[in-house]
Amino acid sequence: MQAVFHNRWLPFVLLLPTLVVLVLFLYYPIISTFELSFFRAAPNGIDLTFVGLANYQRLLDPQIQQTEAGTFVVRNAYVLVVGRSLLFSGAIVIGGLSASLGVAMLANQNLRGGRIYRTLLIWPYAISPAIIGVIFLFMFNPVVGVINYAWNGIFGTRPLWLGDPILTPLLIVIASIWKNLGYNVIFYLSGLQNINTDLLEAASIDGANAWVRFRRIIFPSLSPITFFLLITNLTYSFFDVFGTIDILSGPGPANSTSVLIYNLYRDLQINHNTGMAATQSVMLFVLVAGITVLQFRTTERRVTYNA
Amino acid sequence: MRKVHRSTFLLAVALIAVFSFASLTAAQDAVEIDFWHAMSGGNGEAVTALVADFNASQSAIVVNEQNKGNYDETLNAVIQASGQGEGPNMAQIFDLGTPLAIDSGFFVPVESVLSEEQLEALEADIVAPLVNYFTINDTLWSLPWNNSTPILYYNKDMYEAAGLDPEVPPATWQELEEHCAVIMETGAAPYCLSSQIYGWYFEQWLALQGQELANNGNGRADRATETNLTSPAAVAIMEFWQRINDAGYWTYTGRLHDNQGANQIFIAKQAAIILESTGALRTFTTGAAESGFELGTGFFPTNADVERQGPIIGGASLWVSAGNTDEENAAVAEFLVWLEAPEQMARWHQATGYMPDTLSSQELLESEGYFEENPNQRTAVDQLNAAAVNSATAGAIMGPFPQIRVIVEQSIQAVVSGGDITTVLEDAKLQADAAIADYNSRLQ
Repeated sequence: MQAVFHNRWLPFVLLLPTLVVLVLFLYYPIISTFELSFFRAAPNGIDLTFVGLANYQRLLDPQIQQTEAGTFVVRNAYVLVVGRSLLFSGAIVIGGLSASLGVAMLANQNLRGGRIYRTLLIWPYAISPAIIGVIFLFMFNPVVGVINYAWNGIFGTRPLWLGDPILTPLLIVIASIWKNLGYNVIFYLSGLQNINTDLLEAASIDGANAWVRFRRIIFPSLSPITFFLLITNLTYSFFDVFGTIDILSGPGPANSTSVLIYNLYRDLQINHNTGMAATQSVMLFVLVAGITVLQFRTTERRVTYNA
Repeated sequence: MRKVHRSTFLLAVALIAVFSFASLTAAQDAVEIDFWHAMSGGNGEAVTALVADFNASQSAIVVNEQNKGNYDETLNAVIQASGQGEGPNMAQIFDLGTPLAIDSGFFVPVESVLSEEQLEALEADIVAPLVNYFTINDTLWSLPWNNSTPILYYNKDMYEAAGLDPEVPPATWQELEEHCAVIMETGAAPYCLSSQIYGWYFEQWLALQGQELANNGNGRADRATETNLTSPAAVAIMEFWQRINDAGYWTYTGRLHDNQGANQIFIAKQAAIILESTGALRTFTTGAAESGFELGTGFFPTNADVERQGPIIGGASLWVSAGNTDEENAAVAEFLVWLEAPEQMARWHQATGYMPDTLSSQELLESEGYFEENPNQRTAVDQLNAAAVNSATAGAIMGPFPQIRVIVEQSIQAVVSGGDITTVLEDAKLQADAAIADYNSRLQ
């Protein structure tokens, strides 16, 4: 269907409010960020010197050095930040989607009070990441927190959840998965309720067990939803984890929770290095856009619509 | 009914007309001063009340105060707005923001807007270590306002249970370790010391041992280019921290600079001693009353092997914008002098818990019998007044100080997690010096 306008300018007038908002609050800042990434900024953020690609070079040069013991180490902290971010994202997306699908399958059963469970499951999504940080901070206080009270009762130890280079990032991943669980479960539940029960019944009659039914019917039917959630969770894992990290762990023990978005924030707001922060912004944009395009090219081929 | 409505309406219109005319004429005569600050909650209310009283006390100046978030956010807001020519006439900036405020070029030294008599009177009245901190290169850049130092708080009931004298807190690391040994042996408390890993404490212990953190007179005689993170004083601090950790005396939450977590541990009676800012006195007084124990305070303990120099002050000061007219500068000066006057400073201390920064306000509080009623408040004042005045106790001026503080905190965590002190400190120095070089290279 095609709309017909009698005045050729009318459509542009109607579009104007949207365009103004987009240009002012989206395009202009994006272009400014790209521009700023080619400058070295004085600490007051105002005096700029054009440096070409020097900021990018500084971010990407791994600065490999040989130690006295003869091994090689990467001295560029940013390379480590990128690697850490990819690990975080992978864990949050894969862990988050698997957990959500499992929970959705359980909640989808015909149980007494099933609706109440489903409503309760959605709750964590309504809490802001910063509040989750605060709640976890109370729970995981090693001396007076409720987690270690229980842990100490069962195992007789008091792990330092917030001060260990392995436990702390793990905790951030778990908190992030838990926070987004409700969102993912809503989508999976609606997907599960739309699956054709005739197909499942037919499969059961043909002797397919639960695993085969899941593998051959349920999972493929959910593939459009899984693909959609893959993209939204990816964005979440790169950007929205900031609030949780900032409150729960900061840079973390040995920088173990310093991911791209957090590193960028510190360079801008604490280190007052606007040029480098803009460059990292561009890098983050390119990385997330790249992964998304890659997913559309590869994963989407396996998606079955209208199964 | 209808009539009443109409007459009320007319009355309202008349009143609005009269009031808006009155406020219009007032606004025309008065100089307006925009004042941005980082005080929120109870402290923010104290600012609002002070400013309202100032505005009511005279008609020539109207101060508009506005909270711009926490310290970092306020500093960023002021810098960004000033870059666009939209900054305030005066701002509250925290201690670590001092070099950035100077380097930004958006501020003039506060001494340049004060008359000679005003400056002399203030410098004589404000406690010497405070003047020392905000004087850089012999210039008083900003006026100290809300300041604090760290002290030691302890649970007197636990001291008694351990058989220690509840009136004698440890004055040195060595005494602290002796007390801890007794407390742990007698089982008077699950842990002896609760303390956050906080770079500020490390900086205090350097100053208390008379060691500068940065070169070139702690960055005050000339721009700092190097840190002294591998100095013997720094090694001594790390060894102390390692000892109390290895002995099981000390506990923390794992998160760096987690004051709330550390406070919960102390208030929940899981530790006998805590190191915290004087600003937390009210939290602990209330907490101790609720948990049912008697609270004591003492000086921030230091290394007994070195003569005690003094703590560095922390907190924030008031800065004057470079974009003010002469008229605005005169108004700012009048407001600043009013804020530092004994009545206001004493009231500010009582409302917020920050130090009474001036000798005159301390005398006023003393004459009112305030310190007799609140002996714990006296500890911080005595500690500050006893501090030696030199470049080490003045504290460091380094552009990327916030960044370096985190590097130090991560180093302490690395040491208590089993890292080798020499290696960790060498690595910290490498990172910190690189941050300084980067900051300095970006100055025009």
